Amino acid sequence: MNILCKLAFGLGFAAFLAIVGDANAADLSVVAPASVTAGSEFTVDVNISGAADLYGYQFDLGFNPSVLSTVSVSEGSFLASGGSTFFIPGTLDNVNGSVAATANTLENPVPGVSGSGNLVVVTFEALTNGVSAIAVSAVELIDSAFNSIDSTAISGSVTVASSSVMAPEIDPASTMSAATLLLGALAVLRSRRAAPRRSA
Amino acid sequence: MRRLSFSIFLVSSLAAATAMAAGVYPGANFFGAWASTSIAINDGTNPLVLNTTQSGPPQNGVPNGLLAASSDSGTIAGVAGQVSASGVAHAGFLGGAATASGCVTGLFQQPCDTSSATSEYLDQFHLTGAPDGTPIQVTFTLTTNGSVNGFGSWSIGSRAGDGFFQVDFSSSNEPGPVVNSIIHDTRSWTATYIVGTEYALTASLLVGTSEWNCPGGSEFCGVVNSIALDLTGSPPLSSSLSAALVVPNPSIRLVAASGYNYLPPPVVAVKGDVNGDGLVNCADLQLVKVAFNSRRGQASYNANADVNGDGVINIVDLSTVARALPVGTTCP
Repeated sequence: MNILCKLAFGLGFAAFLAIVGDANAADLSVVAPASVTAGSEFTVDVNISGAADLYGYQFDLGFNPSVLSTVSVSEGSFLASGGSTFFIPGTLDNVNGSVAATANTLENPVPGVSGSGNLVVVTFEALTNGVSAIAVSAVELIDSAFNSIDSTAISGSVTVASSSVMAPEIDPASTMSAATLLLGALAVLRSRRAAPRRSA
Repeated sequence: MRRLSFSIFLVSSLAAATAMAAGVYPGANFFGAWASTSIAINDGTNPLVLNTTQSGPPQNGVPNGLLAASSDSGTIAGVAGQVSASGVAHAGFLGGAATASGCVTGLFQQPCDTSSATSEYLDQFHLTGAPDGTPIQVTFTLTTNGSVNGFGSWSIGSRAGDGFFQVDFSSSNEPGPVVNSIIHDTRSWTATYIVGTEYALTASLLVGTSEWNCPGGSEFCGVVNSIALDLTGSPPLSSSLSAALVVPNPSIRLVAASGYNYLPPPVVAVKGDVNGDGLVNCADLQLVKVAFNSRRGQASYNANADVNGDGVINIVDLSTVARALPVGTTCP
């Protein structure tokens, strides 16, 4: 028991240290639709969470150029919430599948932005059926004192399929109705089973 | 018709030019370690060499003023005078004197205007014994040991209305425009001079001396604005800029000539001032953008845009400049 207590305490303390040590880290995540139709355009968000005093950022994106093609890169709303910004969309390379050095910075001596939000919106065109990872890399985040902010990059992926083989989209309302019907049917069945059998 | 040949060239070695001189006078008046001069008077033993040299690390804020003035009597009258212009260093020849207040008055009594670079850049020489039709060749060569943003200004002639001559320009490696023209004319350009490359600009002149209005009558007066280098930004420490005048014909006398050079005025380093104009504005941010994501050694790398000097131009440099923008500034 004593050993278990010590182990639990140790694990808890380690978890605490991990949380404390990661307190200034931010997550950079790619949010992409699970599947899109070939030939369509769609957008991918690059979001940040856990930002503290973010003044500027820079990163690269990578994708499968045989499946996707970048159309444009535009600024998200997060950094601009702190004041005027200077945005560099980056260099789009649809041959090698990259968007290099997308960057944005606040202007003037203002504080950085904290919290979570959208950094960049990338518009892709779905070329052919297939799966493409959308990886974020070379992330550089700096605060208003130009100190580097630790970050974790979370990539995304998207499946491109032709419309005929696309999985039907599930409407939440329909899902609820179906579930309601199913639950109702089960309830009826249970009530029937629970009813006492009458002998002839 | 007699033949007169001038060779005015910028050389990187003072010693080489000095060795050509029949008589060499040490710099009469120069200031700071960046400048030195020697002047050889045309005493009949040719060639005559007038040389000014600037080399070594720029010493911002140290005025050099007039280096020397000479005459064929052998006297050298160096006059201390600060000739300053923002961010430009010159080497060349100047006839006349500089006042202590910093204005230049040459043979042609150029108006003293410290606010105008053109009156401060005059490099003049005044020769006797150069008759009509005298062909003259003027050659500038320039070697830098670093890549700098170069601003070149060239004009040769006399005061407006005093005369003209045909100039055929040719060049070697010179990035500036090279065209034929009839003087009174000026050539100027902006270019980047590449490490270790020698640049030369040659002008072949045909003097119409009878139309000149030089003191003493039938003489030749020339005005040469030599190559100027804009050394703002990141001047390469080992760059040198020098000038030499050689007159090989003993019958042609140098009445007066002088060279001057001066250093850029003190440049107060402003963090984020990429283009070195003393301000931080959208132009600086654009320069960082152009060079963004480049590394030292790459063609698009701009050392000035590498604000923190780490060899890569990235978000730190961009944000440093952006943060230094005056409050309220928004750059597109």
